[in-house]
Amino acid sequence: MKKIANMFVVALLALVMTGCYNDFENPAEGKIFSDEDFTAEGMSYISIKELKTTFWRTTGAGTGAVASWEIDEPLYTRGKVISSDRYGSIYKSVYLYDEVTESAIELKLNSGTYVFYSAGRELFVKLEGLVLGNYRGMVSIGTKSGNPEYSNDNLELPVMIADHVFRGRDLGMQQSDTLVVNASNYMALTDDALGRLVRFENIESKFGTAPWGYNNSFPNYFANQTSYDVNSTETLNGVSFQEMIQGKPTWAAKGKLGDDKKDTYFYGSAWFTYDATDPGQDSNAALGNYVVRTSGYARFMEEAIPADGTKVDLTAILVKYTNSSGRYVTYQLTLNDGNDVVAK
Amino acid sequence: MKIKSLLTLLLALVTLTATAQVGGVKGRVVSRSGRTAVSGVKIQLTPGEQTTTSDEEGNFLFELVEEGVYQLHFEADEFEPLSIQVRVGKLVHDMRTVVLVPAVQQEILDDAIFTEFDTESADDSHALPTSLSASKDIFNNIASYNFSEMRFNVRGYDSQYQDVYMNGIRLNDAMTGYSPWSLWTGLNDATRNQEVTTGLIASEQGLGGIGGTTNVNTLPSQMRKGLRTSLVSANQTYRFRAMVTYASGLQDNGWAYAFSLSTRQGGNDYVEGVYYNAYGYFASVEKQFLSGRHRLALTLLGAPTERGVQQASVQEVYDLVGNNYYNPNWGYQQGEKRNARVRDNHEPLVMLNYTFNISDRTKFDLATSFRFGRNGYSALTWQDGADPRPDYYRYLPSYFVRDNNLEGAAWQYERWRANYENVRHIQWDKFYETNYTRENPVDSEIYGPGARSNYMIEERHTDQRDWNLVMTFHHLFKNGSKLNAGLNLRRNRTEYYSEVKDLLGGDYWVDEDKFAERDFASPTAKQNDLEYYNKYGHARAAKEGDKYSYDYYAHVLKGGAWASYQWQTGGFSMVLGGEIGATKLWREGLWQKGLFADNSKGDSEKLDFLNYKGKLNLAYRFSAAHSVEVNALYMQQAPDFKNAFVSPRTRNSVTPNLEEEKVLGVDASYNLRYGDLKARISGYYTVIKDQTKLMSYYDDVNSSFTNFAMSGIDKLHFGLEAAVQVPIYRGLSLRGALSWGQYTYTSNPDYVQTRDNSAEVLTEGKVYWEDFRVESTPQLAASIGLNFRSNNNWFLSADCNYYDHMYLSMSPVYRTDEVISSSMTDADIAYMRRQERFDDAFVLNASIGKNWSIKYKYTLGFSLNVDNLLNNQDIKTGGYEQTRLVKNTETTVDSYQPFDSKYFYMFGTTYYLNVYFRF
Repeated sequence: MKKIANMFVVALLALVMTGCYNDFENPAEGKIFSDEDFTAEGMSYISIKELKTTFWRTTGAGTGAVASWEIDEPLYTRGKVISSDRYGSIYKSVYLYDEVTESAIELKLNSGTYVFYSAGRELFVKLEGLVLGNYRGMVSIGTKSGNPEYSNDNLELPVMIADHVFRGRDLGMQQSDTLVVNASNYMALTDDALGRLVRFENIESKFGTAPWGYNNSFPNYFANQTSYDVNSTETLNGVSFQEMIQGKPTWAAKGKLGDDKKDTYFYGSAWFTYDATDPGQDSNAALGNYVVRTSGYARFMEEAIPADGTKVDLTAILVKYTNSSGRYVTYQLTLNDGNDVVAK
Repeated sequence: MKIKSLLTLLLALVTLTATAQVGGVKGRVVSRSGRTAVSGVKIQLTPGEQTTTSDEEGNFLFELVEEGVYQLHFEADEFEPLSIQVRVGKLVHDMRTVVLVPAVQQEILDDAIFTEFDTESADDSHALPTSLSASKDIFNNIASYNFSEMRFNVRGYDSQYQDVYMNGIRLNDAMTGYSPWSLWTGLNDATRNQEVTTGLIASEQGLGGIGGTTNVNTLPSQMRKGLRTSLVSANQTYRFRAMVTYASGLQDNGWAYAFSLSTRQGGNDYVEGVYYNAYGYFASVEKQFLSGRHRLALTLLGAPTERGVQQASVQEVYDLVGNNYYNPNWGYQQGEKRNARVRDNHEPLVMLNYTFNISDRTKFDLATSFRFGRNGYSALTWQDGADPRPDYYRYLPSYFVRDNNLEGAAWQYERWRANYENVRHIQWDKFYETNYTRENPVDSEIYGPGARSNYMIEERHTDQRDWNLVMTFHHLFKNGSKLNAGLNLRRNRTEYYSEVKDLLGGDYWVDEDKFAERDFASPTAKQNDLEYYNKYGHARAAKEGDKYSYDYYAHVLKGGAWASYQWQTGGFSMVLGGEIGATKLWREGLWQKGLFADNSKGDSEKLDFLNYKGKLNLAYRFSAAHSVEVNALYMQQAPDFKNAFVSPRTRNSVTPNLEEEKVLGVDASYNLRYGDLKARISGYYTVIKDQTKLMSYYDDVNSSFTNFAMSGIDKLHFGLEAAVQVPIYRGLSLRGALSWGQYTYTSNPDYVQTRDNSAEVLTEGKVYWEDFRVESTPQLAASIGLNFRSNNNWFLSADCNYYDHMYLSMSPVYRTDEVISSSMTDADIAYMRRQERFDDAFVLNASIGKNWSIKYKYTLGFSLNVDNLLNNQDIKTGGYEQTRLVKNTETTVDSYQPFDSKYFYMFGTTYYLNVYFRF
């Protein structure tokens, strides 16, 4: 009988000495993809430039209209990440740049893309099943939208991102990745550069009413279909908009509207120009005039816009705005970081 | 002739001697619980093998016993057997009182069953059912065993209303009031010796509340002597359990000692990713001095436990995966299942007990205990990027349907159905892959070289230092009345903090408040430890093992005095008791939070509360068979720390309208005991007023993380309990129990909602839930079963249990005016505020067992329980409404609908096989 008792004790002790639930092997580093991985699957490469060209050709759309192209061919594209949503100005997107064709495109994903795809990283995108869409003149890669007013949607599902987006080498950011524009060459800037990282050298910050488009006064702030001039005396919740931002023109704004308990986040628009007097053509902004548009969620939104007349070097993603009819064309700029504006 | 004469003479001498040396033994057998007489105790005197039985008053007598040393062996139904050595002299030796310890006949349920039920909120007040202890009370016996499968709360009370003592010290958690079973989980044999009072009946250790008292007695002299070993194979909560326990009994030299070791390992057959890696240890030593006049005992126990946890999910997910036991907490890491939510705790308890038997009638106890160690609960944390939890609402087909993206919904439906790319599970490998590559110039310039983790496992700690000092005094007056009185003092300092447990391939974690970072541009606002930032110019780069996010002490100082007087005459008995005391609560911030630089570090306001209690127990015993009792209680008690501060992780602000809770309770019972026929029927009525409850959640209306403090929560609990055991034929008996109650909220509590990031009051108002039901326990539970015990130690049982009137835990948010919009019709509002009632349920359970006595010395036995024989896997046992709201996209005015509720289900058929060996 003692044997039985001993067996119990030994069994117990043996178990006390075992039982590890926390010992997990660290996985290997993620695979670095290259063209061969995709061509081996029978896919064909299409450059970003060709992709955009094909989009416009396939959809035949005007620059402002909702248009979609659902890709049903085994295509893939590649580009280097030239943007970062770390500071909240760019949101749920990366911009990919192909240095060979000097063309860039927006890839619509989920939040925190900088964590996964930092600037300088090469990305490959399997395009079959994805949807290219146009929003006010900007072409992007996304997925099919359930809303007919949108040409495409973000790939928000991790499983979809994993199916379509693949990391290549970390190439690092090179000087050549940034298009340089200055007072002498700005007239040459065209839609071909949309989505690219552009450094505008020695450009002037301008406060006041622009002579083009909607004749907006800058800086201005926008939320809930309403635009507020920085000098607006219109009162919100008992204080004027100007008081709300404490008289300081910032990149964007945050405050309470009416009796709201929650904050409203205002987009901010700041005007930078090489020629502030040019009225442009028709309703379109004159070349050499750019609007830096910043989200109210940007980390640097409380930082001041350089004072009226200040000359700066400004590096941002070049995007474009039109209305749905393709009119009121304005080049807009999206800052990656507030530090990308350097006063001269 | 000579020889005959000589023999006659010798015989006469012997007889004369014998007559001169004949004495006897007498005494009175009482129960340790309440010191009530125990009748019908079979008492055997050896050598000589004389037997007798105690009478109605518990008295017994052996006469004509020769001088010498004897063993007296006491055996009675429902009591632990007892052997005492007695020296008989020339007179009748009066042992006065012989105390029998009530036995718990059934296997004590492993509380692990209940700890499986975790909800998202760690402070869920319904995590532990209250009926854990079997007792000699017939209703409790049946309820504790049969109803526990349904998370049954006796009379609908939360576990903080059940007072749980160990060796006379009340050990309910100082922060939450919850019962402390987890401290000794797995040590079933060492903690088997329990005294239980039910309902409003006072105990000898203290007056108790409304939910009964349990005193776990671990003094080795009072444990059953011998070795006990057992092995369990099961598929319910763990796969395997082993336990070995030894108690020496009281030795001649006055020493007694006991120890126990146990382990539980493995998961279960229904929920993936859960497991037990649990151990238990127990050691106690006792020394009796001066023939037991002084007794000193030292006890140490602990239950280091690591346990992978299941969390509830929504029905949509259960339907997608094809069963109701989906667990969102795990995923594969290099092919192995890994759970993100792991409870890992080891809180040793050391206890010193001193007893001074001043006289046969007077006893003084002094006890002190100290609880320390760690208590962690891990969670997946991420700094940026999409929510990585697999069942996040945006990853479910219903989200796409609401967004009118039917094609997307169909795709996602297929992915879930096929578990495409393990979409149902956490993607551990992706986390590593991301963290590996997170070395970047922006962070390196601030924090130095290394990869900044975007994902990690944090471990939220609640590490207690809990000290108790208890003095009790018992005096039995000559008229049979009794005075019990006590003083108790408790000092608790609990450190709440979070720790970096696993950086998942990264090198450090930047300790900043990501929500503050979103809302405030200021670099100081997002600092969790502002002093660190001011010193070094950047946030802490926390490594594995470092504290991060928050660190504060919760302080509790509590003292009280109580007394009860027990008096009886004829069949009438009465206990009258009172208690008074005070509680002081305060928070001490150890870090200065950037958002609340002036209100986060150092001591908060110290909150003082008055506790008092009055209790009356009246009983009348018509005869041995019939008795009635009536009990009443009124008490006021301090709120628990968990509800006293609005956002203790961030600041010292006190919950608005915080006040003491008041409880009024009455109950009445009729007891029948006629041979083996036993029955009890009770009615109860309880009013609870001025409860406070605190919760924190993301408010979709105000787009902000908020704190929601409710005050003035009133409840009414009333109902009936009945139980009966009827012998049918030769060991076969019928038993049944019924618990019918109605537990309702009787007020519309006030609430104040504040923004967590700024302490700004967002909304105030009422929570409209008056007349809604108290959640999480069946308000109707019934059981009927057959029980058979043979002469050769076979036993069989089968029970059918029925449950109804069980309700989902309500989110107060859905019952405020804030979620009502002008576009909602009365029907919409009623729908938003409705309370879900679960379907009724039948469950059939059975058990079989047998033990063998080997050489009259060893016992080998087994028991096999099979539960839910009908394998019904659609029985909801609990759940809760989420606090979040879905914004309706198609309306011009903002309007909302609730998120889907989350549920727990009873497992299908399970078994529990226990093989034991004792000697």
